Amino acid sequence: MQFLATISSLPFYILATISIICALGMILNPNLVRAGFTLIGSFIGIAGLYFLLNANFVAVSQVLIYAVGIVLVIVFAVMLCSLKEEAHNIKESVFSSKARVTFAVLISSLVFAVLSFVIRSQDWQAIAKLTGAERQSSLVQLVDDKYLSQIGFLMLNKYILPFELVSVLLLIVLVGTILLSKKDIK
Amino acid sequence: MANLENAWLIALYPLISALLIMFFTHKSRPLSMGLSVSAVAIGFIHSLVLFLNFHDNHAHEVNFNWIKAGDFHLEMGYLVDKLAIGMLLTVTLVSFLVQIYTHAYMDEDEGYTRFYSYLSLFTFSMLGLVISTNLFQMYFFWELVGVCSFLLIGFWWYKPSAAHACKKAFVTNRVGDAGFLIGLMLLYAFTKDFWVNGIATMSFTSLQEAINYAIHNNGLELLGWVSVTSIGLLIFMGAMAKSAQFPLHIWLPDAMEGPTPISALIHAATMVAAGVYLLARIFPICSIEGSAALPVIAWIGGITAIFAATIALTQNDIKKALAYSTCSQLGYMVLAVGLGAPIIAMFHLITHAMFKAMLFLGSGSVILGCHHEQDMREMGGLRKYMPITAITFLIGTLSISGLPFMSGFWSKDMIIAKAFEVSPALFWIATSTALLTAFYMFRIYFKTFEGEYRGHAHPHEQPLAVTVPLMVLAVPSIILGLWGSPLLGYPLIHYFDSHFHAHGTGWGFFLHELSQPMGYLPLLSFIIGTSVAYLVYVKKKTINDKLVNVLAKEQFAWLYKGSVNKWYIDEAYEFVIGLFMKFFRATWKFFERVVIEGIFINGFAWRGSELVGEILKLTQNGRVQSYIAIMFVGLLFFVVMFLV
Amino acid sequence: MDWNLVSKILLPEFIILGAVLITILLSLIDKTKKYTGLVATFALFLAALVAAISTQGEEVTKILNSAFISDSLSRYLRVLIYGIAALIALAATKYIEKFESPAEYFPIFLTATLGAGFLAGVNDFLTLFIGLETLGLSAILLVSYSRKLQKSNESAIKYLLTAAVATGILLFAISLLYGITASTNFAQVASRIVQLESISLLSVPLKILISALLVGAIAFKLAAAPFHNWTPDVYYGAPTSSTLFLSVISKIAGFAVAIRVFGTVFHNEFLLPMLSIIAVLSIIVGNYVGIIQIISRGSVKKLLAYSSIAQSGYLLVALACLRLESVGSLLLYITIYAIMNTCAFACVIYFEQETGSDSVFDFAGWIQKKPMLTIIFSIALFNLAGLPFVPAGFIAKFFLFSTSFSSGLIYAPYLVIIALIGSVIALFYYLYLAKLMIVDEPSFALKQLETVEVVAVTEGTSKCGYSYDPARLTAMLSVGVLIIVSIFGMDYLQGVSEMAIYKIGV
Repeated sequence: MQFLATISSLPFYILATISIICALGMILNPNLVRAGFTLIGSFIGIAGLYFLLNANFVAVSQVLIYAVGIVLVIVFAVMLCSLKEEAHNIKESVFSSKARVTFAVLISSLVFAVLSFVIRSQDWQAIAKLTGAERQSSLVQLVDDKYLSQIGFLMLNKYILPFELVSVLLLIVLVGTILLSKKDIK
Repeated sequence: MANLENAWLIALYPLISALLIMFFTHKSRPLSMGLSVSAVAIGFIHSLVLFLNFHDNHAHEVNFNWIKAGDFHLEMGYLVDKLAIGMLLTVTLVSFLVQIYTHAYMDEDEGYTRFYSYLSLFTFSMLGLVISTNLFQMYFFWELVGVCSFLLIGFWWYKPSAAHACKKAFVTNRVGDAGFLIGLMLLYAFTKDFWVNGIATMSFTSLQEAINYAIHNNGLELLGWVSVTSIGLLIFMGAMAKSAQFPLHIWLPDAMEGPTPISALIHAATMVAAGVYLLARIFPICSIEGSAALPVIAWIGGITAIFAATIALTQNDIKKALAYSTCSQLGYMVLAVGLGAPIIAMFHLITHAMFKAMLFLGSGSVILGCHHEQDMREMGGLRKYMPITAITFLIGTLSISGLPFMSGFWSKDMIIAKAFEVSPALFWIATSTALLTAFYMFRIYFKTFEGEYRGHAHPHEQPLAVTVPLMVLAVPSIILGLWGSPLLGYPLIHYFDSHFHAHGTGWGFFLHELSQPMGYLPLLSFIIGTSVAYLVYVKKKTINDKLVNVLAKEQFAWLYKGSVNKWYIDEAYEFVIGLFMKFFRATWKFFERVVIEGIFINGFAWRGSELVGEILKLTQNGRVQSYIAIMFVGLLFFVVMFLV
Repeated sequence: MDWNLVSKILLPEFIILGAVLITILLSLIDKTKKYTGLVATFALFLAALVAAISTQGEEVTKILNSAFISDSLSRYLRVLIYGIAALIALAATKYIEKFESPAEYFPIFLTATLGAGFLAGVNDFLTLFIGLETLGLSAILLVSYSRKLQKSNESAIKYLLTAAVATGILLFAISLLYGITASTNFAQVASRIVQLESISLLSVPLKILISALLVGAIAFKLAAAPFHNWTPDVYYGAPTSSTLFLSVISKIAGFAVAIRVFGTVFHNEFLLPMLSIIAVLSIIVGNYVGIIQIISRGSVKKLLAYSSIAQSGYLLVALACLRLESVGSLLLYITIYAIMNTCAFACVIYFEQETGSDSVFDFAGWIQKKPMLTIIFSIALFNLAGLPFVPAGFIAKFFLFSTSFSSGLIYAPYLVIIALIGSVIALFYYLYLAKLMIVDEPSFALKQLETVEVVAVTEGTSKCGYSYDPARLTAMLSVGVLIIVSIFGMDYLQGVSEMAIYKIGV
């Protein structure tokens, strides 16, 4: 039984390792383009985790939007602008780079430690039991092929206000983006 | 009683006109003048209607919530009773006439419209003060009136003397107002729980109950450092400063640096009388059985009356002489309150407002006629050139000196008679003041209007805008007093106080009174004062080939010098304050060197802020990375703090 | 779903939405670029008016599957947000003309205000998140508006990055809450948490973590220390009208969220100490650096930024006490603060229009050029300092501190004492600026201004196409409101703000 549990959670460990390694690679890689591409790996790993949780739609969105869309944009942006001129203007911090790295590692590991401690302190099983009814029903819908239409229904019904607000937000971000990127008219 | 419900409008009209002038019409002279004059005219008519329709003996009072914080609440509102109506009529009438007069007086001045907006603002503040329902509201308007006075005294701010005078007035009034405020707070502290049940805080109508409540329930003592007496006297301090009572009178003569209409409106007729009005309002506090406030008030009033009269004897500046005369008359009013007769004080206030406003306006007319000359040595014989001014001035002089059947006679003699009942010493002070008053007022009149012209200008009569207000004011200066006289049975005084008990009425009683010392002595002092002035200044009697006044100057040189120099009060203040300043300077120097500089600046501020600054410099370095790191440090701190 | 009710309640928002579209279209047509600002101002004013007179705030109504709640609090805050936003839009109308493509400023401005307006009646964590994003992203666009200036771009990037982290923090909190309650609706979350706590299923560390994350994310919006570091840089770099927006509307929205979330949804014993620490830190940092700004003659905008950090601290003191009375006085104070700050910034905007500078030094002797505006600015500064010169600021501050003091929280008196000391320190820089403007000799920039004006007049060109300068009008309007409120309306306003809290819907 113990062995079976380990086996069944093996894909999780594999995917988690992939995304962690890729994330580390993204931070440590000095080449910005390569760093961007390693980020894709990290996102794909997370998308795999969503698949494992039966959240197919979220997983696909993760791949489409983050792994492809956003990273591509980042890579293009990095390739388009040259950092050579501005690089000299960056003020040197009062701390040495070693100190900064140490500090960052310290903070991150502390955040990790605290988060994992806190999340492990909660008995999630009990909560799942308590709120199980809703979970169950949503799980049933997951295998249903009406899953996507369910999401659509929720968006246009239960979450209509946030949904419409997002459309306003997108409109204005569009306007703003054009504004920021258009050439000066003389 | 629609008029009654809208009584607050009386105060509002001038405010509206003041704002309109300030923001919109300040470029147009006729429009500003028209607005200001019509606002106060409407106010006067409104008050008149109120006067004719209001017959209740209790006050009509409306309050609105202003500030509310738990049990502490302050109200704004309006209160109409006969006292307020009397003041409303006086203020609006004098203000109306002064504003007409202003048109001629300020015609050549650049600040014509500014002057009108200030006048309107002042009228608003004064009317607001009159219809205040409670002491806090009154204090609010009290300060507003003070600000207006400051603005108007310093109207010609480019003159150093005016700038100095307005500062002096403001600071002196601060001293009094500090007392007023402390008194208010003490009173509130002892009556705090009385106002809880929806009674407007410090409302005048409940003042008596409140003070009784404080004495019985909160252990407020009758005598002592914190007592009914001290509360009464502290509030009286405010009145002392505003009504120019000794020793806080020093600002009033200097305030004559302002334009003459202001001297007439504010520093003779209305604002300075606010102190007396306040005393009449807080009379329940002062007159509590066992309180020692009233005798103190009476004595301060008496001292001011005679003290200012002695200074007025020797002043050569016509406005300064009149200013000291105002001081002296205000002393009478305060004396009357102190003698336990606030209604008589109000009576004198109203008659005095009429003739003193007229006298000041007359002096302004003279000053205009003599091309801005204020020194009486440069005048004389003006009766030929300015007949209307001279006649009205004479009426005012007779009225203030106490010619029988004139307004001033009735009101002043009632105060003297009251003094006779209460305290012989004060009676003698009041009577001698009457003697001095007759003398110095006729001295002013004779020096200005009789004899030969000594100046170098070409005096001429003033236009109608000046003379009409003078003539209008002459009427009440003559006859208004009759309504408070025994001849008509004291209708005016009965109007204010329905419980007023008269010893008798009619001619018989009047003649009987005249045969008493309190009747014939003031009359005698009027006759003596007038005739001596006549002999000295018109007949120019000589003793040993020397003019009497010159002889007196030589014989009593030290007295003369004292009087001319206002008994060195200003110098005394300077000396005492100088001593204090030296002392404080020494202590503060020590305090600053050791405590402030040593501990605070070099310790906390320098070393401490260096430390804090270093930390902040590290965090606020312009790098987003560190900003985000700090956010996470903060979060971690919160979580770890409670986890551990 | 009763669409009738929805359209009734959300009418102000619909007006603004319509105005967004109109201004976008107008920016294409209107060549003078003058009317978009006026349209925005008018629409916002109309929205405030509609929100004020609509009777729907009287009882608690939840619409759109409880995504939005219409109660006294949301009504009060919407009126406040739209009214103040109208003033800000007016102030920006002319100021914004100097940038590239000025007309598009207002659609973005309106959307940001819309986001803030939805936050006032937020009743669902999803609405909360989207509302915050609408507000935040639009605000970033507003900050980056003067894109030719490097400082504006820099501040926009900084704001974007820090805001992204804050959003991440908030989302993490929301997802944890969803994890334990399986709902995003406020009422359901609240009742589920109570249920979980009653059977002690909720672990204490998790509760602490969620509290910390929520406090952190909201403190970021309020610009409270230690989540404040972005403020000075962003406030300094942004166009002044955007700075004004951030310091007023964002802050009101932040407090709206804080009151809702901490007051009705997620309330526990760990929140209050956290809020108190934030309050104390904000007061210290805000006032201390404010003084450094004025001593080193830095930027007035930065000075006001630090002052707004300190003001957040005072408000957080009342929030930390979390009693009905103290939160009621918080609403009162934030109302007065919004008016005062709008007034102060409108004066800075006007000054910038004239001289192109915002350095403290250049403000010296302003009274000799523009006495009226200097006095208005001074009144705003006095009120921010809490002096009873036009007593609104003083009374509001007095209520804020007195209700906090007597709130019953054990350490509330200490908080209030620290806040009072902070106010005293703050006096220095407010009054120093006022003194500089009133007493000192005119600065070089102001003296130069005169010659420029003379040149302009001789050349026969009018400097502005407005009969009355909008920024100046805003300053006069807001100071007028301040004066009227302080004389006649304090009692009323206090009553309204108190009722807004007492009748809050859950």
